[in-house]
Amino acid sequence: MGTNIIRFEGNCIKCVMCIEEAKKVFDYSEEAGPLVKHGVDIASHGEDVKRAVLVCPTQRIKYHP
Amino acid sequence: MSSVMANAYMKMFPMEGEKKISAGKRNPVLDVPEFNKAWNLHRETSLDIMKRYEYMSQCLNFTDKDTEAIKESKEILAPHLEAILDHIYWEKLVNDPWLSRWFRDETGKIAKEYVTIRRARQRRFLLKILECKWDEEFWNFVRWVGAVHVPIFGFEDLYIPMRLNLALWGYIHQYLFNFLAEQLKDDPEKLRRITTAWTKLFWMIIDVYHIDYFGAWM
Repeated sequence: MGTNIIRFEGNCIKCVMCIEEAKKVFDYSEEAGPLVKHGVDIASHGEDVKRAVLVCPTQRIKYHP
Repeated sequence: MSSVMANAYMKMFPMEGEKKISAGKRNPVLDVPEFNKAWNLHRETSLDIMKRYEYMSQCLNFTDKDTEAIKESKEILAPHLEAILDHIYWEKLVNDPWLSRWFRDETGKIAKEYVTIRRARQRRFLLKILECKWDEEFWNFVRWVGAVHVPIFGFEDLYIPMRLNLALWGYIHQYLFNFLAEQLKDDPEKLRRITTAWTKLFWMIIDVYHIDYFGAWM
């Protein structure tokens, strides 16, 4: 497993809290929910991503720092 | 102009619909030192969230001891947080004849996905509280959560009544206290310390949460 990888598993219920917690990392798509922004340096926003993982109600965000 | 918010506003303030006539004299209220001081206090605590926190802390005597007491409560509450939230959302709110109204879809059925989202947002709120960082970011978060429940950002149909917020916070308050009383029945001093701190914090949160609901005169 590489480092600083974000994966999504299962369904998104569109609560958008992940976007609120890590707005520099995630974009929002009406269809898919959160998407990782192209070219973003995930490592430099690691704490924000961890908070997004923590608040996700479906626990579908998997972060490997 | 006609909207849910505008109609609600006009019902609340019928005087606004009447013809405006100047009283023809200046209002000398700010010449009275006490009123001048109160005005400046209101103005400053509305503009600067940390001044609001400092002022409310003084009013309620919320000190570092209270912060320590809330930290103490984390070890009791955190392991049970999911069960507490399940009870509040999946047992109380969806079954309460009045509160459940806000969790039903257009057919009258409980909108389960929506309840899941509301529960998750409350969970995030409680997790932030348990961090015990009463900084500008935290209080702005509390204020923002309140502000998004009224049309301040332009969604005129969105107006969550203040009494609903108070009912929800009141119920969480009551449930937490009963839970803490059960957990700390052998340590009444610790129970007193923790429930006192949480009561003060709840009042500060309710104050900041509703800043954008009303002017200070309401």
